[in-house]
Amino acid sequence: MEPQISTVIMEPWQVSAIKGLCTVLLITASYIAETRNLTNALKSYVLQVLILSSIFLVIGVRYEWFIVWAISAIITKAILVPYFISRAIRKTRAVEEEEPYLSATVSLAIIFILVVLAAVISKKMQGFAPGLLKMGFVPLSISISLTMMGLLLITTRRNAIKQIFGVCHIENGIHLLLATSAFWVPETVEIGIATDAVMLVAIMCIFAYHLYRLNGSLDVGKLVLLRY
Amino acid sequence: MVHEYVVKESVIPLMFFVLPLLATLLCYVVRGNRALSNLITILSNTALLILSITVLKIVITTGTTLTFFGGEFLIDPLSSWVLLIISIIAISTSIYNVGYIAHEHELADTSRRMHYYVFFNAFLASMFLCAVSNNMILLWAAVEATTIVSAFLVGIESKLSSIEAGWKYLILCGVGVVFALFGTVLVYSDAISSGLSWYEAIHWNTLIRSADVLNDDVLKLAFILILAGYGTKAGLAPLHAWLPDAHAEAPAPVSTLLSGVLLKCAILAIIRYYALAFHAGIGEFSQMVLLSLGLISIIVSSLLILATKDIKRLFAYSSIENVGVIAACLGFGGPMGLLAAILHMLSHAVAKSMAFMSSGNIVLLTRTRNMGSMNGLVHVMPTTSVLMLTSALVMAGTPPAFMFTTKFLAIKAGVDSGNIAALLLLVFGVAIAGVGIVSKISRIVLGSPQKQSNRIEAPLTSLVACAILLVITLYLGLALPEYFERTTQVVVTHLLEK
Repeated sequence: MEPQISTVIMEPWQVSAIKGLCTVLLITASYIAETRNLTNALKSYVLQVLILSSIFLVIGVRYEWFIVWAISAIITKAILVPYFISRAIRKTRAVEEEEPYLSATVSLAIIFILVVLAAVISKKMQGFAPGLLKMGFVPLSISISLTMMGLLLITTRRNAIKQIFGVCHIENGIHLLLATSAFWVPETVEIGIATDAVMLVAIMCIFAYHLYRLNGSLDVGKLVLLRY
Repeated sequence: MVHEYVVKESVIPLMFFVLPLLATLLCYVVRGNRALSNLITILSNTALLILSITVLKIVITTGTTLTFFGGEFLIDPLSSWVLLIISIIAISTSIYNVGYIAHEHELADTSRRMHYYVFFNAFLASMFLCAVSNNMILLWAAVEATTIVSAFLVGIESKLSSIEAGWKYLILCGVGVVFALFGTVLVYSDAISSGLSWYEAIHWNTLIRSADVLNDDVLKLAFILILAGYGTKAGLAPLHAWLPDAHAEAPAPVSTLLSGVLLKCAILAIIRYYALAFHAGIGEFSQMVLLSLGLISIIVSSLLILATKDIKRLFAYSSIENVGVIAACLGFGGPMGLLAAILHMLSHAVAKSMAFMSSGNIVLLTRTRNMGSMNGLVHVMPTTSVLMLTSALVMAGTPPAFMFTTKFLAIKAGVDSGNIAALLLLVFGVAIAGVGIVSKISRIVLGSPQKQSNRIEAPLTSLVACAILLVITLYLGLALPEYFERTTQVVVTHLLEK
């Protein structure tokens, strides 16, 4: 059993680096949400995972097990997940997503509101559950933002691949949450969660392919067989 | 009664995971050979049933909890109870598979059949993993894994409707369960802030001993998030949208596992946090939330039962109703509420598996799920139809089925709690659902057939699997054995006493 340690010690440069990287994470996420070109979204997703892994590496300077987190995130999310998604994009000959339910302006406005909301929730948590804010306010707020943006993509986008990107956003949000708020969890937990993430994306890509094969498009809005 | 629990390191918890995984691997090796795949699945599940009975005996009589891998895996009385439920349904479904797969032409293709058996066993492995997880984040990962593996089985027939059901299932459950992880991390971080070590904060058996140090308000928020997450997976209304689609579109043996046992894995996670809330001193709050969700589920599903014309959706809605009954029992609280919930988990697993197997037989023979186009089936398929009607009566809680005993206990828990309004709602919903199921099924079974056709029957093994479950429900209903009663008492005591 580990000794009882609950204080996370960070150098000032690490704190600033994490804040900066988290902000870039948010920019990539917004780009993935808004671009209609799926290949560009995929490239941006790989960049997002590399930034996430850099956050783990920055933490890993002092807490070396986070280097394992970074390596596992790169293998699972920057190699395997993009492989499955790019295969699905190729097989379904998808280039651009279908017209979303919301216009780009409305969608961006909602994303802005969600980010503010996530910040407000995180601020509230500071007094309520200080344990969640081991690394300060920014990582928690960004992880909640990513999760909510994922939910937004799933609910307002018609394209199956775009919905898969929504799931990826949520998974990255969880990953960041685990690293920064569930600080001392053993690596086995992280590997379990990362494996789940890859499997979920892989199986969703298989379903997206079958959807295209049977329905002629990736438009999830056309799925109406089971409404009644 | 055993109160002092001895913790013993053992490889048994691992066996529950390794055996079905081995079966998964072997089914892959035999590449869809029907006879060999069935043999492997039946042998593996027989071994698991024997193992789960042995473990239950060890845990209950000697008061030992078994751990493995430094406490990451644990078999306590509640796990051993859930392991028993999973293994009973797993073996009967494996027997049911034999005839079903031979006659289901959607699975006639060898490659598709190989995938079926591989994922069938992997699905069992993931559910067993849920039952033995002590690490609360790994428990979450295991629940997520069940979604991933079973979604493949839901969509295995590759029809547009099954792909649609699988997609909805993946999106709603795969994503919905995320809320549970937020709740879990909230509990964990609060436990760390309260001075517990990471080991104590993440493992259920250590966390529950220090539950009183947790902050009440944080735990309340966490409980709501956890209930939203695992409640989606358990099919509690209003988070149930995926359930009727997935349960109806999956092949019958998969519907059996989804409805009979998968829902119980989510309930297991909810019960773990329910016990934590109880020991942390927010028991009343957690009861109120569970009771509300339970009653909403019962009322919503009983109305949906009246409206549906699809035989498999009928039983899928009934699963929502029964999960609602379990949640309401937990909501009524006290040892009686928990006892009723735990017994209802088993009685529903057995009855619902029977119902899905029987309806699977009917769909296999009539090639339709629309009850409007079925009539007088008893003249065409007497044994199959009688089993179908019996299943419906069992589901409705007709005595002497075990479902009657557990629904009676649910009502008793309601009376004990003194919450008469909630009790009346529960009785009202359960009665409507029961009447709905029996009247719809008797309409298709009895009466005269629309056209003359030759007599046919479902495959023998499919009928035998159903009959085994019927015997179990009647045996438990007529003669609740003493050892059985003691077992459930120990499960309840272990959860509610420190």
